[in-house]
Amino acid sequence: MINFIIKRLLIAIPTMFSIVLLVFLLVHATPGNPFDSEKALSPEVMKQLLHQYHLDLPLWKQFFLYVNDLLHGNLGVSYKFIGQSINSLIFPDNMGGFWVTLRLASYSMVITVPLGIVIGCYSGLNRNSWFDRIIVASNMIFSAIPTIVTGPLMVLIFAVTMGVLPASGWGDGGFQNLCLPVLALTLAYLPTVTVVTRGSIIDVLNSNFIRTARSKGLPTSKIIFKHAIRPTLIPVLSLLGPMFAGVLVGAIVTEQVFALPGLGILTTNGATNRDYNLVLGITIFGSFLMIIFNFLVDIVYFFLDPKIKQ
Amino acid sequence: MSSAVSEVLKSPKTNGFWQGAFIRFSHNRLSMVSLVFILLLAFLCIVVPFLSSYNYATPDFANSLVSPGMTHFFGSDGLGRDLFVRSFIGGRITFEIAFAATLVVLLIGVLYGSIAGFMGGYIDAIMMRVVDILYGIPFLFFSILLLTLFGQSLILSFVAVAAISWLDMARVVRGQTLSLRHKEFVEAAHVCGVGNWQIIIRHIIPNLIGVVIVYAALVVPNMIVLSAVLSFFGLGVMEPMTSWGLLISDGSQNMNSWWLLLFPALLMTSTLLAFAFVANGLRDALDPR
Repeated sequence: MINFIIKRLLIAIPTMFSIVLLVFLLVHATPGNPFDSEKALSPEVMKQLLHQYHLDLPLWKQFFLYVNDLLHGNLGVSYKFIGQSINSLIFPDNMGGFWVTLRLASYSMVITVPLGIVIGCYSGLNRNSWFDRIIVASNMIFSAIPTIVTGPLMVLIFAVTMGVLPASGWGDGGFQNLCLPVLALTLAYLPTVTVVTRGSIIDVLNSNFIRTARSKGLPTSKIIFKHAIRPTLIPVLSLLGPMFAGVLVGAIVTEQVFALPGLGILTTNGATNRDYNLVLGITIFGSFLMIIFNFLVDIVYFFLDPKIKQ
Repeated sequence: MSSAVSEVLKSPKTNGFWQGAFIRFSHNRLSMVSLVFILLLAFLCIVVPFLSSYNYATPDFANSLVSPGMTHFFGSDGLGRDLFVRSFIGGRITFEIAFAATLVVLLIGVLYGSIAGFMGGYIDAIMMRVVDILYGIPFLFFSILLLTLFGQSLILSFVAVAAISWLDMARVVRGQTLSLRHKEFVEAAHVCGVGNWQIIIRHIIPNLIGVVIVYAALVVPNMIVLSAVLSFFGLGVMEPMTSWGLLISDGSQNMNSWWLLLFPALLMTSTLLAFAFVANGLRDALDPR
């Protein structure tokens, strides 16, 4: 167990370091500096600015300082939101930034994963029934339509035409404001979970140990809940790592569609203001989240799948 | 000897793999209809902007926000521009970006994957570590970062999209190459003294075409979605030029004129579905099990 975790960490840490190095070099290798685009500054002011943000140091020193800051959990300062650290922009004291994204992503994951597993299992257990056919067809359709289409269409139907829900905005972050965004995000990822679960349970039900259980005369409910569930869930679990990354990005797109004040708006603000450090910080933070989540999934995998332990 | 058997004996060759695949595909009605739909739409995207009496860029403030009807089939937008023409010129741009990006993805993915898979050993290990590392970067942030750094341009927006999407392609191709590497015909070529490059180009890549085609049919709709997402973030195509993503984004900010959202959304959705069905048909046709 300990060995396994250490092995995983040995992979995760260099990966993270390489990402930081790559993105950092990309940002700093581009010509010009973040203050070029503004109205012409006098050379003294420019020099002062560059000095203040350590941009006059050699690149390797800048990188060293940046990594040092990162190790202390500090993503640096924003070049454009004067005097604000990027940490305080990503994790503001009030609702906003990452908190909005996190809430959106976790609500929809909490709905998507169990619902997808239940629907997928039911559909796979009753293969070729009318329910199964409807599920397969709608999976096909909904996995083809992106959030940027379903989101606005839902707003058109529920908010503009029927007028039952607010069209956009965070409001007080209550049910009414979150209903459509969470639904849009759920629709985007439910098909994946359902398809994988359905395929997985069909495979499991055809395997020898289930046939043995059947031939011993175990009742169906016992076969399913005692024997079939665990191996069914393993492929679903391995899906969750990449899916988390997808949901994170999907949440940001959803925020953009519904005008929610999350990481998405922050990134776009950073992009339009050419605030490199902000976009850099958010990218690194996003990569960090993905690596952490994949790491956690690997560990849960270790407990679920006996094959890894050998 | 019955006539059927003698027929078979007389015929000098049997149906090849590609012929069989084509027949299997053409028997799949949904896929064929989808393929025809895509071709028709692509044709309209080329032709409509030439034939229509409206220009996609010229504002006509007297006729702003006209509902769909005989004068403007899809209605007109806030500046009085005809949405029908704009939808199809937007479709043209969307297709262009998607196909160009897919081409880049194919080129990089196939070369990278086949080299890694064929070389094996530490070269493979290093190349795949690079892919793993790039996988760790959330693509949307990365594209926004690229577009922030290099400014906005049409070419860049598809390069950004393609630069992240070749990873899956490389993995798929590598897997396939690994299974081909020790086949007899490759070893035979090796024994005959054919160089690595020649083997990759002459023997490995032609045998990857089936997998690559199936995968490419999945990449195109992904590229359409990605470029649309980027235009939702205000990155990518700039006014007065337009794309489906930009049209949908505009439409979602102008909900009281429902047609601004509905028509581009319908066009894009039907295209994405058609591509999904075509990909399905291709997989069944090229990968018979």
